[in-house]
Amino acid sequence: MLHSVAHLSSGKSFSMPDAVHISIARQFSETPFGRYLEDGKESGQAFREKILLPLLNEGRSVVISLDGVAGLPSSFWEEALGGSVRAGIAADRLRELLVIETTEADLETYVRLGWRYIDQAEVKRQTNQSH
Amino acid sequence: MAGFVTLAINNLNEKRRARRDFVTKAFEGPRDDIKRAVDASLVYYPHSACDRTKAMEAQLLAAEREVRHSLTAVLALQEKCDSAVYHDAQTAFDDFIAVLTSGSFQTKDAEEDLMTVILIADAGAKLRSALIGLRSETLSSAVANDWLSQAQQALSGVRRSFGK
Repeated sequence: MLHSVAHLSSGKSFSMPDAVHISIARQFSETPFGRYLEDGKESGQAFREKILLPLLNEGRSVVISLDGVAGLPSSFWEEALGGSVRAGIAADRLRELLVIETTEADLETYVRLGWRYIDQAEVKRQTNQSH
Repeated sequence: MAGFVTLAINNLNEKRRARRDFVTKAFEGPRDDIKRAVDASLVYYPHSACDRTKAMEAQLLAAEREVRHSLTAVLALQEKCDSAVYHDAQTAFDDFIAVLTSGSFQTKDAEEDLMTVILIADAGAKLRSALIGLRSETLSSAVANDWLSQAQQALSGVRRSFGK
């Protein structure tokens, strides 16, 4: 049984039993780029559809580690996470299932941005639903 | 005794000057890096995808990385991470990183994207402004914590209580 301990940038830590640990750098790309599949196979859409959504749709907890990436272009990162909300997983559900972590101080901005993209996509989704 | 006090104050003033120089220099790096990133975006985004070269893209990514590293180092200098000034700077930092590689970045069918250039220039200006506030706070907190400032504060407290 997998057992992940997620260390957040705030210094808190907590356990996520049965979580699947995904290292973007080791399991996807050290230099992810692009938004859509047509932009490349290391795009945000590819990460979301091939790696992230299959796990989330099964109700699995996921810990995404950013350690080792050279950078996460906003086009990639927004499509991976904001796109998950647009694909039907509500931000509240993502907060239950998802942890984004890094031990590298210069990558912490991407942790904060990841949650910002999720929240922004949720606001848009709700606005669209109400119209 | 007077000589000893003078020596101690001179020594402290020297330390304050060194600290001020260190902080000033520490904040110069990020300012230059922000400018380089804005300049790199001015080269990249005004072109459509077919005219964007790998070199332009690499320059922008390298600039983004430099900004990330230098801003992280400057934020790590802060003793008070819960101040409004610190949070403003952190938010401005996130905003700048978010917009730098947003819009039509790495999009295969991208057209000329002047809107993203404008957003990047705006976010860069806001980040520079936030850094000025942060530098000021860093300098004043460094001075406020030394023994001379504490002695001055104690003295003014004594004066106030005698004045009442």
